[in-house]
Amino acid sequence: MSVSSLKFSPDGSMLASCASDKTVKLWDSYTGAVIRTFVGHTQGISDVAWSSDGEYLASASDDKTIIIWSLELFEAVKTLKGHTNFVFCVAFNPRSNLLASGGFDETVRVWDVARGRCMKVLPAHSDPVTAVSFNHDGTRIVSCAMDGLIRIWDTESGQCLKTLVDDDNPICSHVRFSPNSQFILSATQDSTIRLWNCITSRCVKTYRGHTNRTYCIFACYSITGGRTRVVSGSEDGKVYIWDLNSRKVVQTLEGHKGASSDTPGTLVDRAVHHIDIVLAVATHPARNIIASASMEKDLTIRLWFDEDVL
Amino acid sequence: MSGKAPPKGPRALLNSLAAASVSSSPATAPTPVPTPSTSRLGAPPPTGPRSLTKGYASANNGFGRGRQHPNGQFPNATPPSQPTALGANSGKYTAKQNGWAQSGGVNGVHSQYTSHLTQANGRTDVGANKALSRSSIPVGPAALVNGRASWSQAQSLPSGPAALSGSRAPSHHAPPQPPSVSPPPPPPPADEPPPPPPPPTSTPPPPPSGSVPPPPPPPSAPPPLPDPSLPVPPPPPSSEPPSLPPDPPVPTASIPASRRPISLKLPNLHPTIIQPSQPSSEPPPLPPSRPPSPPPAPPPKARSLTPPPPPPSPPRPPSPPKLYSLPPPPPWPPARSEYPAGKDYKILYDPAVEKDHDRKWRNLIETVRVATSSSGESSSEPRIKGKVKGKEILYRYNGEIVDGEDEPVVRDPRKDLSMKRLPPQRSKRETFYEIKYEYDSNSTGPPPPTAVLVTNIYPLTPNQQIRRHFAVHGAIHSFEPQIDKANGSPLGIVFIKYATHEEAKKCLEKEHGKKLGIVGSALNANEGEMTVVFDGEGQKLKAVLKELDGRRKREIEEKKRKEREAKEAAGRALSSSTPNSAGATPMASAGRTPLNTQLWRSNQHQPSPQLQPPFRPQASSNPRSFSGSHPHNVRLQHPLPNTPSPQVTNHPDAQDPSSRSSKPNATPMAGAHPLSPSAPVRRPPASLVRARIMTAKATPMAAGYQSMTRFVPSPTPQSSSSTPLPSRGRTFHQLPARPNFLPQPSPSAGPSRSPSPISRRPGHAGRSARQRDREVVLEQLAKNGFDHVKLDGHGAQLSGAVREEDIQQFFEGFKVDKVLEDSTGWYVTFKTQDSARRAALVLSGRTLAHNSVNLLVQPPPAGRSAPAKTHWSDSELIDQATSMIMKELGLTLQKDVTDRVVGPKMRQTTTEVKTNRGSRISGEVVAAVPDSQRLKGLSFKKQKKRTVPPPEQPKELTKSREHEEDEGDAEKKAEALTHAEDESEVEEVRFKSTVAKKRRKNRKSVLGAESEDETDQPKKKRKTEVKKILAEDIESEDEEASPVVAHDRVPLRAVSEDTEASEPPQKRRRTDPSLDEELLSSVTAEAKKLSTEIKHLPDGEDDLIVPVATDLRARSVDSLLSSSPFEPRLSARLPSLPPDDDLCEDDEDMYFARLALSGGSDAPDLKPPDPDPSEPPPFRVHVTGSARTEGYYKISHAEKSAYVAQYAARSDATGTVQQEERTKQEHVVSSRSNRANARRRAQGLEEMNDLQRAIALSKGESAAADVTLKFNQLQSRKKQLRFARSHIHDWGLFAMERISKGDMVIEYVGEIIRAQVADKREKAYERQGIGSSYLFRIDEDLVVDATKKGNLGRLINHSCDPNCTARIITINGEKKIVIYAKQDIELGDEITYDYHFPIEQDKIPCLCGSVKCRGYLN
Repeated sequence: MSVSSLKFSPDGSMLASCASDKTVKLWDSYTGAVIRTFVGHTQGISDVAWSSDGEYLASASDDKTIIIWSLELFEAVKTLKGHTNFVFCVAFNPRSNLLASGGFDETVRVWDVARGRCMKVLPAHSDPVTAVSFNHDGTRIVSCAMDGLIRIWDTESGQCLKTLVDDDNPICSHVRFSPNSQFILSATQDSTIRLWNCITSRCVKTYRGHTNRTYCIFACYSITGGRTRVVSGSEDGKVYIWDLNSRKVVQTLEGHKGASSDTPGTLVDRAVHHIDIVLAVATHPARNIIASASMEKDLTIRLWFDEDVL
Repeated sequence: MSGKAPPKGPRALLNSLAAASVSSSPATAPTPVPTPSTSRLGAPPPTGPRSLTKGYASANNGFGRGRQHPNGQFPNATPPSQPTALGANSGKYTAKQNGWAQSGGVNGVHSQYTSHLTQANGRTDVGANKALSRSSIPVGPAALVNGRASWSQAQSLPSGPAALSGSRAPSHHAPPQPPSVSPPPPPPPADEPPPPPPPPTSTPPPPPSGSVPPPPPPPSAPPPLPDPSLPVPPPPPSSEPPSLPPDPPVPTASIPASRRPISLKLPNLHPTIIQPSQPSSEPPPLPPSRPPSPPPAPPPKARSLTPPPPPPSPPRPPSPPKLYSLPPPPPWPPARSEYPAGKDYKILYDPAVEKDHDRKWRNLIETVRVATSSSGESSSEPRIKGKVKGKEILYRYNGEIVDGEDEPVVRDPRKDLSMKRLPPQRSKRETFYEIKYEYDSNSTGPPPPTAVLVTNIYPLTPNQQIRRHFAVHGAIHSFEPQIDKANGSPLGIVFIKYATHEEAKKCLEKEHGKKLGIVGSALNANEGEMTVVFDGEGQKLKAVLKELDGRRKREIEEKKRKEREAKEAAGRALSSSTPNSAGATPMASAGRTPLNTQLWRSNQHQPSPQLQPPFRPQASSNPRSFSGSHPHNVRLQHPLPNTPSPQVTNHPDAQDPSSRSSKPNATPMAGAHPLSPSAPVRRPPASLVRARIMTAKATPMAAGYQSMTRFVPSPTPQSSSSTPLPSRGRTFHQLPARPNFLPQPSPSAGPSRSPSPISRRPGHAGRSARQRDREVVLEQLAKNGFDHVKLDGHGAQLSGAVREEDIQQFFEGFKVDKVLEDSTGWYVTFKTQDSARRAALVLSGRTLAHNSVNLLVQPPPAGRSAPAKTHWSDSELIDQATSMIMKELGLTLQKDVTDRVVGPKMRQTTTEVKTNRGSRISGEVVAAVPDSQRLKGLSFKKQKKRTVPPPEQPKELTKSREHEEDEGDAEKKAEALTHAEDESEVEEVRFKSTVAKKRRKNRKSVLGAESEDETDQPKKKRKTEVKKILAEDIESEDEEASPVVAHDRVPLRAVSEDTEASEPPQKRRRTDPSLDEELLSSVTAEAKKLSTEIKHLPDGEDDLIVPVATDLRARSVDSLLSSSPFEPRLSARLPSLPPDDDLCEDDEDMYFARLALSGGSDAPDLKPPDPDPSEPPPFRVHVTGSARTEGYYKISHAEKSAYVAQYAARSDATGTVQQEERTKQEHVVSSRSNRANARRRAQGLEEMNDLQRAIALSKGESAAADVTLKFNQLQSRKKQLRFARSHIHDWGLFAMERISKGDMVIEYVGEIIRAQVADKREKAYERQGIGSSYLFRIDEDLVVDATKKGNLGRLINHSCDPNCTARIITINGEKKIVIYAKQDIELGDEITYDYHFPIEQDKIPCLCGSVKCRGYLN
């Protein structure tokens, strides 16, 4: 079953992946060995998130729950129930005492991690919420949804502070704050990734080149190696890397293959690289490593290293 | 300044230097050595560092003021320590600076310096010093310049080489270059120059031990070069030699330079020492160092290039000198691998973070000092700076290590637990900061409770007092003292709702566990500690009440059980002994009665008195009449014994229940209040006294007996008198039971107004005499068939003070049929239908025996039970329903009876039937299925067959005719009945309405049948029959009376109790014969059956009756079944539901619930219609497993409403009709349009935000920069408006949502034009026939023309009494017209504002239609 999300642990030593096979798996970032598999969800999982200390994992599932897994005990320590429909995305705040989640019930929920209770329901959107992210100090939450809106919330009060909208608001599939929280990287299903200045509410950069029409594909920053890149998967089976500033595609990583047997794709595709959608990408916090995972026909998680750096 | 700044720097450096320090020290030593001046030079270097750090400034201040170098740093460069030397230097410095800055000549000078110190970079001072010493060397300056230039990265390249060259062959070649390059350096100096200086300082120290590798470190890069370029050394030597160890000096210089870069520390404090990461600076330096001197020049260049950090390169120049002092290149520049990826440096020491605990640094400084002193003083100076008192700073270069210093171990401070961090500015955070959200509509979970539940208050505490007490803690929103619903007595439980959670909390904190002090109240003793708990939603209150209720029930059950046991025991005893043997019976009875009475009394203090009163009069009379009989006597005597408790003790049975009952019941009204556990004393003493008296009298009297006698009399006066004997026997038997009964009455005696006493205390202890009384009364009432009047309100008093004659008198003028009395009061029946009502109207409120009388018109008994014990507060409904039912029932029954009962024997049966009917009627109520029962009553056939085998007891009874037995049974039955009543009452209420309906239908059918039958006055018939019967079998009758009642109920009970098992649907089926059939069924046949049954009666009346009852029930069911509409219900009914009040909310629910329980096949078809609408439609299942992998897909609103509250709410609100519409529109509302809407809204929000901001600004509020983030955009939305035909004029704008006062409604948007243009346009428009004017004047000059371009705002009509106002506000310098709501605008209202047209001659009529209309717009 398709891998739906990848996340490197804060120290980069581990990679967590979740999939629609209802499991969360832990991998060694460097060797690729499976460290652990967490089983407990009753439905497929859409997203996974690390706490900032790397002690906990949270996974969001179609079973309407979020499970918090302890990496110490290697078991579920909390089950957060409250969403009335599929949970689609989760994110810890930097202190990891709060958890934000969004789902098909069109709400963003803020959870008290310690108590496992929902503290707040943000009436966020009018369509499924596809991503949530905290800023660097945890004071703001950004969420986006299939209604095409990106909203910035005040964590403390639960108020909506800002709404970022593009003229043609395409379905917004991913959003995240930049490390300095000045910008917001958003991916939309018009095959575009935008960088917003969240102070001025202006779109400052636009990255194109990949294909994203249907899925909620992750987009990441890669800040290692002295240069800032934007990394995203694509529905053409490649991983695209843009230079943050120049907006040019620096590189594409091709390698995800898909059994195109059932998809009468172009011969070329089939011959050269069979591809399936690269749904999830993640960048290593310290090293120049990119992890990517593609869907059903490929079912691999690939780790890409920058040889120059390593 | 310099002093401070450097100090830290050095220390910081120390770390890095540590290792190299040794070597460096030598190097430094040499430098100083070269010449005193050099020593000073050494000093300068320090300044250099300072300058870098800022320390320069200070140094400069001290030394060269004359300098005017842009690089103020240079001036600073002069180390404070060597002011003297500096003095000389200073001049040079200036020169240097100049050179740096601009003058090549200066450079020349510097070159000299550089030659020696290369440090030039390091410091002008150094340069100066050296210059002094070797002013001859032109190159030096260049080197210096280079050094600095190197700092300035751009120039670094050229300069670097220069520097190097300067250092080595600086004098030779470098010089020229440097100069050229030098110019560039100057610029850098501004930025970087400062840095270089420091290095020098540090360098000096290292050099001391030329041998030591340390110098190399910084110099490493450079030094090595120098080394290789040994030739070079000469130059330095040349210059330096004079000073001293040629090598050292140079190296020092070089070293410093190299280090400088490192030490570049920004602030004076040198907060963090950053070692030049080799990567950037390193590569160049290293290579040079390693690749010997050969490539000296290149390396330097490299460095210069690399010296990303400014200084690095410059320092290099000095390196050459190192050659001398520094032998092997230390491994200084740590392997690149040691540096964090992507960084050029690593942090070894951060003074801001690290403190000099354990005096490490001091020691180190000491060490260095000593070392230097030993090796040569000069070096120490440059390395150690600052005031002595622990404030010195040890400079080092490039991470060299000072002698005696441990090899630095790079650690991640974050991982080092032992590492001490800066004292936290704020208190340590133990826990995460909890975010508190204000509770709002979006919060989850229940709101913080504002209500508290206070229990265990002494029940007699006046509410006022309680309220006052609790009002202290805050405003009380609601104060709900809980009362026992059965009798209205307080339970000592109060539900208090405060305005805020805080208040509630306060209350909880202050009151929990406290006593509610009643000052000076003797009652305090009884008072327990209050329990105060949060009870936000009243759940706990419910739970408590439920618990109390449950407890009461349990107790009742317990009591019943005991009684049953007792009865059985007694019955056995009696059976064994001849009935006549008074000795035995009386004893038993005696023992019991007292007990019971006591129990009753103790448990139900007050109630007893009340109950008894009625008996009194009769009691007195009866006893006498019976006096002859032992039992009576015995009874009479009982009263006395009753009082004493000891007897009670004798009978454990009695005791237990009593004790139990007392606990729970104590507080509330006797039995009725099992709920209130706490209240010990219920009634005032007076009542108690009375109660005693009453009990005394009452107890002796067999309640049942009394009642019997009373009742009988009216219908058959003789019976009472005649009956004595048989009754006596009976009574005896019953005696034992009575005691038990007594308690019951008490419960019923409670103040509850429930019309039917029976129902009231149904569940209570088994049958009591009172109950019997009541039953008898009920029977009578039922017989009467018309409404009756109850003298209510003061039942006890009345009963005590009033006699029947009084009442008769009271009702004189109305056709009083009978006056009945039971424990709860008096009942008066009338001979005509509406007499009761009229009597009530006329007489209510009058006084009777000095008591105001409250007359309640009540329907015949059946209704009574309804009021049911507790939950049914809406007795009115019940009454009405019951009355209707009863009437109809009465009619049907009468007719049926008349029809069926044919023949002499039939009379008996009829009488029975009648009695049954009465009981039945009451029982009906009891057994939630009144209709069926009544109907059953109609049909006699198949009685036996159908009768469900009555409980064992009946059979036993038949076998053993013993009265005792009967009594026991009766009791049991009664208990059961009461039980059943409890359960059924609730049901009843629910069913009444349905019943009523059913009845009507039944009635029709029945009527049809009736038409054939004679419509005799059933009443009379009955009466006559009864009389006859009585006359015939007085004995049996007497006995029957009470037992019959009981028996009748038994079946009922069975029905109601064992709804599940009692009546299998099949039975009903069997009996299905339609009503008509039944009616038609030959009377004779039935008569025969009846007769046979009746025959049995004499022996076991119980038996007979039981079957009848069951039969009746079955019958009724059947009949109902026959009439289709009822069928299902009846069948459903049978599987009586547990009395879950909460389970079903209405008849329908009940019905289906029953169906479900019964699993009846009867109405399976009906079930489907009952599906759970609440069941959410199943969620989409993601084929791919998870939502993310599924990709995007549309979700319809219908789907969403299943899980999104708002949608659901919306759909609910709009109702089904709209839902349909929505479904139609669904495909129209695509998610795209949804998104578009959202976007529009969001944009609107932005606009709003701007507006808000502008408003805020206009109000003079300082607008924070991020005002944008201050408004919750979700709260300010564009108002929903639409335009439509207006009654005012053409089109108008209407609010599609509620707009609250002050809200912005819309902006009036249009072209902004000048007034002149507007004038022209106006005319043009007029010409064009555009009648409406959409010109809105903003001010003198500007007009908004919305004619061609604009928004909905232009459609707003004028009104003389508008609900909006137009304001002109300025946003971003633009004036805008904004319409604000002047008042709350309801949905659908037209938006209007006053146009404020100037008054003109040409009047424009106003059609606004408002009251205040001026008539014209202008």
